[in-house]
Amino acid sequence: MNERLAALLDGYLEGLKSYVAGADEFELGRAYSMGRAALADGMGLLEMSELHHEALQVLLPRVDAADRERAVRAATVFFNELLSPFEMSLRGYRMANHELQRLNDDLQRQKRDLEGANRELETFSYSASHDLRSPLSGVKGLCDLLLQQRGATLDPTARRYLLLILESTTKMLQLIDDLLDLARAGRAEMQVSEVDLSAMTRDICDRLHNVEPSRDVHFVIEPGARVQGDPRLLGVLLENLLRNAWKFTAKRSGALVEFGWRADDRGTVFHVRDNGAGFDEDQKSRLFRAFSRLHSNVDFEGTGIGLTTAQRVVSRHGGEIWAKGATGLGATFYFTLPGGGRP
Amino acid sequence: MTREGAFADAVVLLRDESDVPVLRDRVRRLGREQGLSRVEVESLATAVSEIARNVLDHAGEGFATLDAVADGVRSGVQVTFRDAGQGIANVELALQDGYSSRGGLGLGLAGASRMVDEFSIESAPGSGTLVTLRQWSRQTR
Repeated sequence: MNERLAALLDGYLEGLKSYVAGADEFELGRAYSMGRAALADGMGLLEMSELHHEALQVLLPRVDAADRERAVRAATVFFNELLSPFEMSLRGYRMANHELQRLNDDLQRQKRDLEGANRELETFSYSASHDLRSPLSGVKGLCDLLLQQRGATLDPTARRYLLLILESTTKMLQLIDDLLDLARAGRAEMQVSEVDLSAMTRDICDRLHNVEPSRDVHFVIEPGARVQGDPRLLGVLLENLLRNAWKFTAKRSGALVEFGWRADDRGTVFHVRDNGAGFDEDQKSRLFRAFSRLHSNVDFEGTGIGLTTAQRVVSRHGGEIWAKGATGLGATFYFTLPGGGRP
Repeated sequence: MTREGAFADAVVLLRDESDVPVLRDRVRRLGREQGLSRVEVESLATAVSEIARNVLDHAGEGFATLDAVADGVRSGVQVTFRDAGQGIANVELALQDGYSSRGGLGLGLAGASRMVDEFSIESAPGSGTLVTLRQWSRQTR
């Protein structure tokens, strides 16, 4: 018998004796109060049972054999009274548990509904983008053809209109490609293998340079950043971050784009840094939101989906992405890819 | 429910702890007379203790009325508690588990309500509180 029970035994035994001798309601009230206090102290039903058992062992040998049956019945009434607060509490727990179960079921159902709706939305945006793309490519192809093969026969105004059509079409194709990337970043099955982010960065930078060879941008790429991840998705991630860096350094001389990593308490933190237009730290919360742009289209063109896609890719890899920057002083994007790591 | 066959059985004043056993004793006796089982009587007595404790703790004093009730099929016991205390501003809140019960989940008003077949409470700040418990006999007579 533990200490807490031993401390109760004297009082319980006294009440029980007195109840068995005189069957007084006052003693029952005491049993009830004792039960309530024991419950509040965190004691359990088995302990109450033991308490009663101990008390009976002391009490019964002192009762006349002829009176023993009545005494046991009275003792049971007394014991019931000790237990009744436990019964009351148990009903409370049962009800609370029931309610919790119901709320949990609700939550699970809502979660399933939400996931379903999300999947449908992604499927829709994917197929919509996909179906928009081919007719638009047709328009662009015909414009190209017209310009190259029949350009000489067009009068200058018609040529100018055609160039405007071509420019708009190209922009729209870029938007659709970005949307497709975004949808893919959320939907695509992950195919994990070793990816060399440094080599990937090098390739993307070369491509950017080939598109606009006239620009003078200095690249600093830390080699050997090998991680485990989906090569396609990680390509989309770097493409978006580097394209951003390339774009926002367009208006300055001595442009610098840097890729590297540091190890800290979050694991390996990769970064893409530029010394371009930067952004207003107060607007930071909008940075990764779809279609939200911190710079006007006049200053820098863009669809406002790139960083949303980047964030989705990082989160598919269980990582985090964040940014630091200041207006006019460049921007740095950091991301982690758990499972990947420093070579 | 019709009040056919109901009669005012007793009024028990609640002035301090020592009145609670008196009330419980009356409740128990009336319960047995009305054909309630031992478990039904015990559950009712437990609820009565909780409400009596509540009255003494919050209003300082009050009284309980006992009635034998019948609805043509069953017979039962009704216990009504009245006090002229501060009343309860938010009854719904007071009926939530763990609101003021110091003993743990499921005691107090909420606990008492689960020990009986019917439970109602009327209260407003400044106009005291009226709590009615009813326990029915499971066996039909």
